[in-house]
Amino acid sequence: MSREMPATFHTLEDDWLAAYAAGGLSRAKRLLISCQAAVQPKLSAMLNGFDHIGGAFLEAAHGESVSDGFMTRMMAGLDAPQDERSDAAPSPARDADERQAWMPAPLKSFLQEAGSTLDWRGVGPGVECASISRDGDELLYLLKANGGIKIPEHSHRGEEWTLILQGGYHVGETGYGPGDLHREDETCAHQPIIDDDGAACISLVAVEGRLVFRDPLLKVLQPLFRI
Amino acid sequence: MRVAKEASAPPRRRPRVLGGARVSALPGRGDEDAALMTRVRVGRDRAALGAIAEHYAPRLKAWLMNRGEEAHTAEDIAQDVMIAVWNKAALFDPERGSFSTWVFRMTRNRWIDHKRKHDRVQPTSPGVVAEMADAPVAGAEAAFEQTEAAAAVRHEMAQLSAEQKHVLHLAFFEGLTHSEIAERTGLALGTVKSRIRAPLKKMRARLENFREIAS
Repeated sequence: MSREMPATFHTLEDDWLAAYAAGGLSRAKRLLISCQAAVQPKLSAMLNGFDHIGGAFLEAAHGESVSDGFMTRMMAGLDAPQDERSDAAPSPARDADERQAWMPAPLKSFLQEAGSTLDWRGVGPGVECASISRDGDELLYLLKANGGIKIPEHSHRGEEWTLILQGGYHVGETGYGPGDLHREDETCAHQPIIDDDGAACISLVAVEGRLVFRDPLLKVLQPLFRI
Repeated sequence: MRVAKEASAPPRRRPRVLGGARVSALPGRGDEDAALMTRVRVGRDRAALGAIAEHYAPRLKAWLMNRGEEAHTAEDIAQDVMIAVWNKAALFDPERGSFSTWVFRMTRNRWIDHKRKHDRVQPTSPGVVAEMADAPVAGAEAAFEQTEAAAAVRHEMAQLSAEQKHVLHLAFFEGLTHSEIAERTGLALGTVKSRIRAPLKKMRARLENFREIAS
């Protein structure tokens, strides 16, 4: 992230963040929130606060009895060789991704652990897309668009979450910049216009189902775009 | 259930328990847990770990079963978490938050790992990446006084009405979606959302204030 984060920023409603803290949401959505928390200290603090809520409920809840041998098995497990799995944050990326200042650490780790490199493909004039994963009907990809580009007007069959990693865009009067997470759902058609301030806009997008373009030509071409 | 009294509030009717809430007093074990963890960390005291497990293992099991895990799987994960508590005890710092927060986070992350491993068995499209980093709040501690944050959260929680507390319990402990909470409680979806959002909004304001002071 090249720019300093503004004091206020676009994020999700608290009920989504609560679902995140409770371990809910899809992998792609969790990644977007993780990435936003990595670049927005206030969000990170808020999520820590939600963990305190989870902890307080855990502390006070009624439990399910464990089986008779639980304590014996647990104590025996203390002498077993330690699980090498680390709860610490993953180590930094080692390859070309390291040069990409816009890439937040959780995304870098995601790609590194998957052994995946970004394969940017043109999907239209001034627009490139790098597919990251598909989970059921949810797609996760990076989108790079040059300044001044108008993304064709579209709606969605489900949720579309966009985390801006570099540059920015406007939807109507509302501006979104680096570190903003912009959520739209199936009720809303919109046409983002990329800010024309030099840098390309790079965003991480999680979308449920295919986008629904208003333009019939785009509907025909859409399978080629894979979005 | 302990319900905070509000001096200015009108006389409250007997707290209505919706959908069979099972939340006992909130909160109360912070000091005891911290003392037990000191014994685990410094003295490698297995009896202290046993005392921790006696309280938390059934609750971790319940949390995991609420997320759809079978009893034996929930118990296996709870056991892994307790062993991790032992092995990673040196990383627990009571100055940075309560043990319950620490173990909640550890359990959630282990459960997400477990789900990933389980999901991998299922057919996936070519090129699907299977792993995801889930260390969302790494580094936050540096900018934020966790003890004060925990105190702020608990203060706000003590102010909640029984209804608000119940809805948050269903969201955080039972892991229900808003629609599921609406179904369970008979409340309208909008009411569920507002009952979740309202107290969290208050906490957000307090937490952000803390951060501004701390930074």
